[in-house]
Amino acid sequence: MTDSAPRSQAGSRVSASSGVRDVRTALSWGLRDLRRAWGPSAWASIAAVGAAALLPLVASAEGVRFVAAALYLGVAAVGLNFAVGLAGLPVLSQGAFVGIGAFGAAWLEVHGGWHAGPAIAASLILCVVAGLAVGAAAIRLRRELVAVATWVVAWLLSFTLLAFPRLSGGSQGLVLPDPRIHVPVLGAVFRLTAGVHYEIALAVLALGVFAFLVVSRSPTGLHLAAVREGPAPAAAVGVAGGALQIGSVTAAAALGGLAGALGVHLAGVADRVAYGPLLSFELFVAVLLGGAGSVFAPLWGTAVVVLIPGAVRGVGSISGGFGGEQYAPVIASALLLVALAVRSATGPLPRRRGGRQDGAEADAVGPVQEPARRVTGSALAAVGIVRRYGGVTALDGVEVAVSPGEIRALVGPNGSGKTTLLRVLAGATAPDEGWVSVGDRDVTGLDVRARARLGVARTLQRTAGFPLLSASEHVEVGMAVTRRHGGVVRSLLGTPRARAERRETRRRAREILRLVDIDPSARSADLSAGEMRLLGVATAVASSPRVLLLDEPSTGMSRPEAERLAGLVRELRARGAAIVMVEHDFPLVTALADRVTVLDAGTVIAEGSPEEVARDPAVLRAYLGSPEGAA
Amino acid sequence: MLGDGEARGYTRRGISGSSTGVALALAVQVVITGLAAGAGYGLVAISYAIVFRLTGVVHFALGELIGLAVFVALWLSVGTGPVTRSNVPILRFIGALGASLIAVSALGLVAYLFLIRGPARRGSVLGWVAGTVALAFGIRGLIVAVFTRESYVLPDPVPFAKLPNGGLLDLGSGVTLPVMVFFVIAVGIVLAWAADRFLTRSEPGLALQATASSRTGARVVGLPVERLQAAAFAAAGALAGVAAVVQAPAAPVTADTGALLGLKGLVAALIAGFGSPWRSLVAGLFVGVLETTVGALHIGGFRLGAQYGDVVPLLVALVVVGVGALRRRGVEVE
Repeated sequence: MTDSAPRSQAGSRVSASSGVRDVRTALSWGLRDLRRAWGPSAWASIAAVGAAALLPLVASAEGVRFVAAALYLGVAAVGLNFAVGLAGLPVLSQGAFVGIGAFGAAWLEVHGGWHAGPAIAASLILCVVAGLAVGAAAIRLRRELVAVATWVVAWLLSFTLLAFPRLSGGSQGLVLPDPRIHVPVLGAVFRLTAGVHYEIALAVLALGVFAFLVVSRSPTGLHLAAVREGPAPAAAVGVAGGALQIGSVTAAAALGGLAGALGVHLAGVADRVAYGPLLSFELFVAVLLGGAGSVFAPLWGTAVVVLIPGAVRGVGSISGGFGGEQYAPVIASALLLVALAVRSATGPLPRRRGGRQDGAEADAVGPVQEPARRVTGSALAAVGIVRRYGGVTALDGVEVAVSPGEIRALVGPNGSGKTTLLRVLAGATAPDEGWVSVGDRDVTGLDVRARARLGVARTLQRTAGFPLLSASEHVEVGMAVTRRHGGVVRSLLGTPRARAERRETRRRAREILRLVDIDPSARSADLSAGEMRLLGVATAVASSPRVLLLDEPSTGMSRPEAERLAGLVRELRARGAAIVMVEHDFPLVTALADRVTVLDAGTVIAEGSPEEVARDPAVLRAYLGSPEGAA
Repeated sequence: MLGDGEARGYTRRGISGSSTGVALALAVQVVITGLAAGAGYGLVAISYAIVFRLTGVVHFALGELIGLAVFVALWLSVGTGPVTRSNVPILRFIGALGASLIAVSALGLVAYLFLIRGPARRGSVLGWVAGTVALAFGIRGLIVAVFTRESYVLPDPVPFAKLPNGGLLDLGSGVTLPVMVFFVIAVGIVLAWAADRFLTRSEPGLALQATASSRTGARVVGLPVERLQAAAFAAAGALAGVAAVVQAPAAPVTADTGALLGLKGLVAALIAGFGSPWRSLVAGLFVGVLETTVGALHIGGFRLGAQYGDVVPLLVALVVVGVGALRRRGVEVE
């Protein structure tokens, strides 16, 4: 990465000795990016928020209070969208996070005598801890169990508040003292009126939406989408899926807790009934109604959830004989059900809006000059690998060593252990005996993702990929492990380096796709099975691996596609990577492989050049059953 | 809202002295009462397991469907007015029960076809979670809107109260137990046995099992997978409804009754790992005994109280999930 053209320019400029020039360069990059990003939509957003901020001047205090409460609900919904929309996790405990924020702050103020500011901060920390815990469990569970477990969490808070009146204030709730915010440094104190709440809620909501927008379009958002769409291929190219998902659940909990802690001051009382499972459900539906993953979905979803019961109640009071307001929740739920039924009929709920494809960025296309990362000795070695499945010994003392710049083919009859060996090399299967090393490092105890970070990339036999991502985005996901500056914080701040890196990533993705002749904007559905495999290999190649493991890459490929594959693999070899491929297509093996390892019944029966192996009597016996069968 | 531990109504009466006889009688009372509640949870857990293993869907609205079955039965027999345990002709009530079970099964089927099947087929977990939870709150809203009293008493289809001693069994020292609890436990065991037999011996049961282990495989050998899945939704609703109807007369019925039964059944299903009927029943009995024991626990001056009976099983379920999650470390698909 460090040798690619635009990045190195940026790097040398920023690290130049003159500090003034550093700052000026950074500013000019930032300004240029800002000018590019600044369009009519940005103006419109600023204008809309500015106009909305004037509402307290025209509306009644009651109206402002109502809208402020709705905005806090919107903050919680926007937060939940991080977990549901970005990470694709069905989190049903957002109401519990709101409740923890609300009761945490209220309890500290009522029983602890804290000021509002520190109490809100402390309850926010509590929510972050809760979010981390829920996230850490969620990444290890299947999605349906995430729904069940978070649902239980939502009920647990409800029961706990009921069981401990000292915590919840019983049926009266915790009545907050007249809330004032003390600003310690300035010595200022101001009252939290409905108008102040409204402005705070509006600001937090605008910031939350902006943060979601930036993250969803950043590499982080892309990686989350990849983990959502295909956990296994994402791990195979080294995407830190777990950490990202924990982060998104924590972000959800933090925004939920903030909404709760602020909102409880607006309400003036923390009432446990308001934070039951119903709230969690409403927030979840609010996010899904708008189509999870899109930026403004939670906003209009919240509007629907807030307004429907209100509207029904209004109609009820106008028409008089309607039967009273107890039907409001029924009708609201019915309308939500209809909306959901329509949504479920019209198509997939989680939808990812692709980042803007900037045409100008694709112009500067040069040759791929990406050196593989440093390699010493044999790139990949396995010694004495034994792997048993029940009574079957799939691998029985296998030894393989692959040098940098070598293409090694693994061949053998069906069931000889080729794929198992590849899985052991990748870290997807732990060997019962033996060890694996990459370079001079023992990696036997490392899992797929840790090995991917050391430069071991793998393509999977299945060609699922990430259904909702474009080809270009697939390849960008592949570059996850080489990313340096595109993390959440830098993406949020839009630092010049992060932006430059993003541009560079896009450019390289296009280059690599040009090598295999795939349209960068194509989706999985548009590609043939062979092209999907090519895309898988391109994704793996994009991570500049020092070791690439290919599992039957040419299956389902036409001859021209197989040649594109061969070109890509040779390209990677020229850059010094070691390539191990399980392959049935012997002409392709002969054309491509430097050496061939033949497995039979879990042991290596021959190793050598393709020609040597093809003449080896043991190999002929294994394939054809008898030495005479040689032809 | 939720303290049904108190509402269940088998309280101690006139306890005097501190003999071990009283303690033993109390312990028996607590455990048997827990088993009776647990039998209901177990049956609900069986329903969850059947639906989950056939369709991959956790039926979040199951509890509310159960509640709806109870209230529909009530409505068909007496409308929304007051009811006592004895002012309803038994035959009419039993007829109403049957009709309500059919109605609820039909609703479960419709919900599956229009709300759950689409997203479940696409593998959209978010979609079916939203659909089932929305259904749950829709039903709950309906019950709250139509039945405006705080709680209702359900007539008992089996007239235990006409037994000698008002249907109460004396455990000595003034501690009593309604005979009905044994009936409830027995019904739970019989239904679990029937479900197990059905799944392991009968032809449609084996088809269900086959579908549960591999939907693709079942489709390939020509099983009507779609119909089986739809049938599972209907049957699970009916099974759980039976559990509710058997258990409901024990305590006043509120709008939360179904949700709570559903939640505790879900906890039991979680503990049983959505496993076989027997596993589910045992997990349900465990949850039931756990909640009554915790609620009645009394060590010296230390006393937890009935509300803990609601909190502790949920904590246990989360611990079970957490332990399972920790054990599932470093798993890679494919």
